Amino acid sequence: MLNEDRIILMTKLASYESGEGKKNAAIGGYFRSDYIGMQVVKSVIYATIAFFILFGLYILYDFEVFMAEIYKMDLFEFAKGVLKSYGVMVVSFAVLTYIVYAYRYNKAKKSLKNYYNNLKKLASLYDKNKN
Amino acid sequence: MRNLLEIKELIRRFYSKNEVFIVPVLKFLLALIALLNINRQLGYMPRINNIAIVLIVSLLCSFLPTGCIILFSALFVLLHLYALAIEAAIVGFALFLVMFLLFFRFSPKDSLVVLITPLLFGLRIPYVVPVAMGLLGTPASAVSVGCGVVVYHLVRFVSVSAPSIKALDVSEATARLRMVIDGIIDNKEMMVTVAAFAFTVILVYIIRRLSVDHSWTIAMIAGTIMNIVILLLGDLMYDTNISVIGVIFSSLISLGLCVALQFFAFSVDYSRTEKVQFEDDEYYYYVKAVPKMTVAAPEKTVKRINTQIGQPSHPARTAQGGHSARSGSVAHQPSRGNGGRSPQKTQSRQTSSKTAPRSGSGRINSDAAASEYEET
Repeated sequence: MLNEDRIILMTKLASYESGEGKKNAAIGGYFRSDYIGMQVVKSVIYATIAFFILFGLYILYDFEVFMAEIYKMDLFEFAKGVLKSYGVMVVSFAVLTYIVYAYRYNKAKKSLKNYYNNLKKLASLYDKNKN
Repeated sequence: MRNLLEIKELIRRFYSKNEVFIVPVLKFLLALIALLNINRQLGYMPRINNIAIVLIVSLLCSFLPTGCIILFSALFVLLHLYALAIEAAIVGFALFLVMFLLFFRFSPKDSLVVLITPLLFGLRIPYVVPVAMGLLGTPASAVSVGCGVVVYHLVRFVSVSAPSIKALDVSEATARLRMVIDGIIDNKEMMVTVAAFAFTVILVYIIRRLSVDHSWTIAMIAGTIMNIVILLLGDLMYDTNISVIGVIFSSLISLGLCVALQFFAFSVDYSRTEKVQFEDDEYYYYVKAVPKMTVAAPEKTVKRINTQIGQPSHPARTAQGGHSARSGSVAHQPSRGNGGRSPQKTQSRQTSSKTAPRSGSGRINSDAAASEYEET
């Protein structure tokens, strides 16, 4: 027989599953460290690409001067400076990513906890109906 | 106010019912306005500076995800820049790519702001963006708003400097590149605006989250003032040539728009009808969940015309007779002491009855009658 409470609860759960829940379930499938670590690695890759783009523009900006001076300059010092800038950019971006995604993971977990509680409630409604 | 609330309710109801049609139409309009604006400002490539192409792309955008509007707009900008000078296209591409890689990762939902901000700059009301995003978004929205400001200044710079860029010889590629990069990096006005908008977004967000009465209104006003102050300070420090009167006037208009936005956005859930399917051991369920509507009920207010006991209180009352008894709460009040009235008073009541309205809702009748009495 149809149970109104059960249908309302199931509808809510189905709506959650098809919307926000889909994203949260994907996040909830990871351990915290795995999820945040993966996002930080992604960010490091993105930051590296972005750094190369910016570095390319920097070189192109004064390309003629750069080519003229490349034999005179201390290449070791230059590489050290470039690496330093790269390190600062990547580390700061990774830290920002860690903070943002740690917050998002906690939020998703909280939302999923609520969802699982509703699932338990639904199971208990089924049990009550059987008895 | 009541009428406004009813309009708000009507809009909400209309949106909930017709969301399937409204969203594509809005997307189409946004794409159309954005692409036409880009073509108007840049328009160096005749092939895409064509209304047919714009209409086709806008139609396409109306069915594709919202992000596609940004993608097509960026593509249009890059193609125009390419037609002007390949160096400008390289700088534009690098800028868009860096924005995509570094910033949109954190606030993908707000990416539409990148498109809306330059459009509002064109309408000379850009200050509505940081306040609105502070009200509706998160602190991460500051990133999207900042990117929008950068895009606007890139397009404006290229649009203004196009003759100078063209004047440089093709062999002077480095000089062209340097010119475009300098135009972006050395733009103090852009830097000051980005800083002002970012701070405003964060301030508005913090204040509107406070548990104080009228937090949204306080946030809007504080955000607008903060924005003006930073822009003016920036003008003093870096000589950005910002028009003080223009900033204040535009900020006031933006504040008015934000008040309207608050009215329509505050505590309103434009939730749509959902269709979900699921099953259990016994049934397959195909459920259509329709959000409950809260209709703004017309308020009935009791208006006391005369506070003195025993005085004739409402001249239109007896003239309206049975009608007034059924229609409004005001009409009930005087009928209690109506028994021993003098003929003179009855006459005055009859006179007034000629002007008192006889039809319409009870509240309107009683209000009109009340004003009639005050005139007598």
